[in-house]
Amino acid sequence: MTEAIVLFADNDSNFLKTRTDFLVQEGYRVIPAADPAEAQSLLIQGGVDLAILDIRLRDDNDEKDISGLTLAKEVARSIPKVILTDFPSVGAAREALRPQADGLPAAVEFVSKKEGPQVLIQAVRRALGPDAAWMRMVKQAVEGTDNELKEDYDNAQKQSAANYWASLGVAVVGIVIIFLGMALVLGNQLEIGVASTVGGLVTEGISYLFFKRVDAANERMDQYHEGRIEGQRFGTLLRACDGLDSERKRGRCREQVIKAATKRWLGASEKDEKSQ
Amino acid sequence: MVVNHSLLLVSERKETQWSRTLRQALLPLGKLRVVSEEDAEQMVVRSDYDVIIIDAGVVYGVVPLISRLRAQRPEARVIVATASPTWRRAREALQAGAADYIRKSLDEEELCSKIEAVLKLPPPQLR
Repeated sequence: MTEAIVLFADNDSNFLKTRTDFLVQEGYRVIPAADPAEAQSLLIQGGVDLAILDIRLRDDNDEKDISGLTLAKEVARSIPKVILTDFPSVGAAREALRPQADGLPAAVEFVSKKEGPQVLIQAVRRALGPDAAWMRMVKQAVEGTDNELKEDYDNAQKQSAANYWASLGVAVVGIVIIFLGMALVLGNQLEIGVASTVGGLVTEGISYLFFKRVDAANERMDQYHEGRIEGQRFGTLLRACDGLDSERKRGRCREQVIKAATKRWLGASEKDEKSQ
Repeated sequence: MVVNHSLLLVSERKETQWSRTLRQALLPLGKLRVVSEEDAEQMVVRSDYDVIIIDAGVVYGVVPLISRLRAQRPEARVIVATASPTWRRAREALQAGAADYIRKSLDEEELCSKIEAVLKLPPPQLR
């Protein structure tokens, strides 16, 4: 599963640990940061879908410490931020959520630590937006389909192997019966010899039927394999879109990938219908 | 220098001490019109206002009103003014799309500078 990547900056190591564990349980990949410098460098590095920033990142007892808020205002403006604080105030909420000179707020969410982990997770979900949830759903669907195809592939492989051994076994028995029949004919036991040879030939026919089933199972394996490769290509391309540096580019990239895949898959199913 | 912005205050119909203070404070920015909560939407549809100030002490539902006003005029800059500010209400108002959340107890100069700062912001984007 491709999880959203969340940068979590807090100088309280215990709090950081418990909330990180909670977010990981909720399916996010969390990068912890213990001070403003580390958080700043990770934000500049990029590759983060969302940042949760404690306001007092240097010293919890220093009322003047607004390092987390400053980071939200000044660094990586395109990354949505959730401001988290143990000391909520009107001033802090205002500074976090009111539009800045560029028209955008420093943060999209403002959460008090006392509101608990559930409120934080709701804020994270809202901040990541329906797009992130939708992308996760698409990727999970791709993964789910891949698992199903793998299961079908494994079953087809088992059937192929079973039919192969059955075909081989029956063929050997058939040949033995044919040789036995021929020996009986040569030994002047004409009637039993002919019957035995005919029986051997029928057995070979049955062996051929088993062999046809091996063929059919192998064909199904090829189809499942192709399906898995298609799904993996789709997933890889969607993940590649995630690496682009703006939401607009990511959206356009995903749109193109989905359009191309839809065209290919629907085209393939139309061909299947026609061939049937 | 008087700038001719059109400013709207959603409050009580009758003049209050604070609406007088605000009108006086905003004289350098433009003309302030006062309207009741019931008439606010109609007024916003009829004319363009550069800033709409909501008196949270009078308006029953501040957040729904912000949403309604912004639905009518997405470009409207809305400010919520309150005598009893709380961080939760500030959060609600700002997340609903208000451009600022201010105390009614600010003096005239501070009121004017807050409204002026909001006027300088680019038109709000739909969230």
